[in-house]
Amino acid sequence: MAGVMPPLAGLIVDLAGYLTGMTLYVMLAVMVWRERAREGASFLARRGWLPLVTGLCGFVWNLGALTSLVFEVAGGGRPSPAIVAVAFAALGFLPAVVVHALFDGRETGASRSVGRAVIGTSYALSAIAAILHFVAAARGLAVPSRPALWLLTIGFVGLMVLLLVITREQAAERRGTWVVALAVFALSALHFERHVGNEAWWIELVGHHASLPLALAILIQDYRFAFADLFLKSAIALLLLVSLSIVACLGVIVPLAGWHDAHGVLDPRATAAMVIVWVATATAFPFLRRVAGWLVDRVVLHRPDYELTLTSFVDGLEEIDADDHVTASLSDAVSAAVGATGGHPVIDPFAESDRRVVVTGAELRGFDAPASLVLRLRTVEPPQPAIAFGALTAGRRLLSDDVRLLESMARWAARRIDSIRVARERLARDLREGDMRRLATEAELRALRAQLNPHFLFNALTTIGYLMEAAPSRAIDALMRLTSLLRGVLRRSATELSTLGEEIDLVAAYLDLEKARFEERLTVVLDVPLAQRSSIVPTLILQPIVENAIKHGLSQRLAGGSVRIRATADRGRLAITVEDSGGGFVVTPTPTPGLGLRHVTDRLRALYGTEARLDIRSSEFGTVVTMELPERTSRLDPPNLSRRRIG
Amino acid sequence: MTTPKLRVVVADDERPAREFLLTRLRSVPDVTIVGEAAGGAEAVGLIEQHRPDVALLDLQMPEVDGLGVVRLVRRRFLPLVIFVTAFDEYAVKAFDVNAVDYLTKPVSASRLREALRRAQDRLERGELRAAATARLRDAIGTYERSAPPARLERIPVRVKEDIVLLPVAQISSVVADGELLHIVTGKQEQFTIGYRLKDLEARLDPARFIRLGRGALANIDHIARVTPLLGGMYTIRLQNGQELDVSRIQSRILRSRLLQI
Repeated sequence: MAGVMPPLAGLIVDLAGYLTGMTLYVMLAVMVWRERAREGASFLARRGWLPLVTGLCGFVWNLGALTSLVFEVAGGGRPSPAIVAVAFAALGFLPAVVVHALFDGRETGASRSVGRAVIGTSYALSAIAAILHFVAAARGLAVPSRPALWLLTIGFVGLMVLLLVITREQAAERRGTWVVALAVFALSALHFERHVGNEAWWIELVGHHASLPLALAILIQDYRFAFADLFLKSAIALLLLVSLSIVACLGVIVPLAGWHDAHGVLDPRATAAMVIVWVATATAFPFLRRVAGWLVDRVVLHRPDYELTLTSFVDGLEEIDADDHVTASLSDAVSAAVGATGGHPVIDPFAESDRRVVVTGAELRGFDAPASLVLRLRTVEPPQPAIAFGALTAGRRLLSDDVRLLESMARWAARRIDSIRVARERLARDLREGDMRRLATEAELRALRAQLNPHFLFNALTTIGYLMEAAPSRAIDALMRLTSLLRGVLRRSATELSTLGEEIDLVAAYLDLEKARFEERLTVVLDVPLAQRSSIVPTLILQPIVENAIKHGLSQRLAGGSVRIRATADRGRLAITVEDSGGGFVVTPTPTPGLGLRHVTDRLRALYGTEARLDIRSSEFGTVVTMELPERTSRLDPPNLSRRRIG
Repeated sequence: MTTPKLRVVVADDERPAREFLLTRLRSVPDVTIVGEAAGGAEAVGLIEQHRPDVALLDLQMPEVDGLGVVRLVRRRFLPLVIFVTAFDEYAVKAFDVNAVDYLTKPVSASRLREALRRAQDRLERGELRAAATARLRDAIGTYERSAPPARLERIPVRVKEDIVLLPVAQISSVVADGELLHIVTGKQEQFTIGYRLKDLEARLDPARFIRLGRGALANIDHIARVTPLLGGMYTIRLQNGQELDVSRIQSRILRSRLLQI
């Protein structure tokens, strides 16, 4: 098997490897470019520069290598030396970028100058190697240049040793990634140096595709670009898939393909087996994706389980019933999940204009407190709380999964605050309604007081007191009149309409008591036809008018006077007139109605709009108050019901 | 030696209320009821005729009310006054503030006895009596200022022993003189009342009366001529021939109210 396998297997591994490499590097470059564009960085901005260079170098290398391979397989000839030189030069720069990424803005334990020297050296090594490749290509020597490959191998192995010394204080697992990456690269350079073709597939794999782990190493060193986690997950899933495919291809499909050759026709069993393998490989992808996700989250980024974090946070929210407890709980959960420190509430100057939930980086300008992260709680009603966090622990950077988690948590927290507010509002409304009921009771009492002024009440009691001694039976009568008057007023405060008959009875009780008080000085004339007694009128509408007549007309005159009440109906209009004999005084031509009459006017307007009117005329012979309403006889036909609902 | 009996006059326009009070009063020992009045004017006459020690005056009476009685009675005849009211927030407050005795209707016998005992004390000591009278006048002032002013249509005035209700339309001018006001009518009749100009002005129709200065009011309808003086001031001549100067400040108001078309 080994005799047949090597060339074909190596070829498959190379083809798959270069294509995968191109895909990965293009993906990387595009993601970084997009993020730069999203953040509005200018073309020359340093942001994302390293992963971008990595992407370009890796792509060029894989493209060049693939071109060479195609030349080799198709024509059997050698590809253009210039293409090979460009490809190898690009490959040679990758380890330098790894070293650069290692030092760029990270704690290595080395001083800045040492760091600069190491970075400079590594770029110099790569540059010299590149020049050697081009020189070799120009002179017609073998490309890739063997001295260049030697230089890279020895140079980066040397640098690796130096770096191990410099970063001796770093955690072993941190150093692991780049040590492995550089070692693999050195091995790769060594491989190319002695490359004679037709080697074992695994040697091809390690030798030619060292750029892949290098790319991942650079990203892991420098996962400051927000999609690093997504990229790593996709890349690892893709690599796993490709590896699985290659294994399947080499282990199952290639041997089975031999069966076709033997019989000269397609072997159905082989075909079936191959279909099964393809389908199995394809269906394995979701699983691989999960494995890659787990690897990146747990092993590389040491994240807690975000799903679990979110679930327990949301569960915890249910217990909370105060706004600020929600924000405190969110602050704690964020600290635990992404290592953000010092969460505190801030004033959000952009709450109206900016709808984002998670605010980071340059967007934080304008918040008064220095912060690395602000979470907005987008509640339905203002105020919308915002929490600012300080630096993330261990120089950590928020990646896209972190942002998504924070967004979810902030949204859940905002929903919780909404529901707390709704509950609180409902409670407040219940309390308000209780207040309203209490106020309504007070209003009833006030109405009673307005209808029956205390002056009248105490005078009536005095009268009854006199009658008890002078004429006990009349005292009982007066007491009964007062009782029915009080009961009538109290009962009617609740309803809006009654009949004219009921109102006249009430007024009659009132006038009886006043007659007992003023004796012969008061003359009362009631002129209400039986037919009009069933007319619908507003409750207690007459009483204030009659009281006014007594107060302003009669009780000002020692000689006394009369009150006359008439009701007439004409063409659907009911007219009720209250007339007093006046005090004989010269009354101002346009009397300003007192509080009682103003109240009557207001009620008439509210109930009937322009259909009712109250007319007041005063002269030295007395005052005539005329009330005109539409004539209605049934309580089921209330006046202007629609208007009342609106008003 | 027994204490002399307390001589009392009662005034209430409502007979039942008056009878009720009289019944309580008769049960108080050492009290003689020397007169009962069915109105304010009648009360003034009874007081001046019988010179009682105490007057129980209903606050609300037509034409001449309880306060009117106090204003109209000649000063030297004014007895100790106990007001009676059914319900008047402002009056009750004014009396409380000035420590003036009052009773509420229906009048309770025990409170009546208490008020009369206090009156007795004051009568026995001259200085207390003088102080009570001063407080009474203060209380009337407090009341006039705090109560919503009810428009006055007739002012009760004395014509010798009689009380006349003078319609305000007949008044030409009111001129202050210390604690008194001199009223001159269109027919050149002159009356004097115990009223403060400010309190009276508050109860007159401002559309009908205009202030001429610190101490005078004039009925606008009775002004016959307005003569400008030097310095932007005016002097007015009324239809009854009376001439009055207008102060500098009031001249400006007069100009804007009367002389601009």
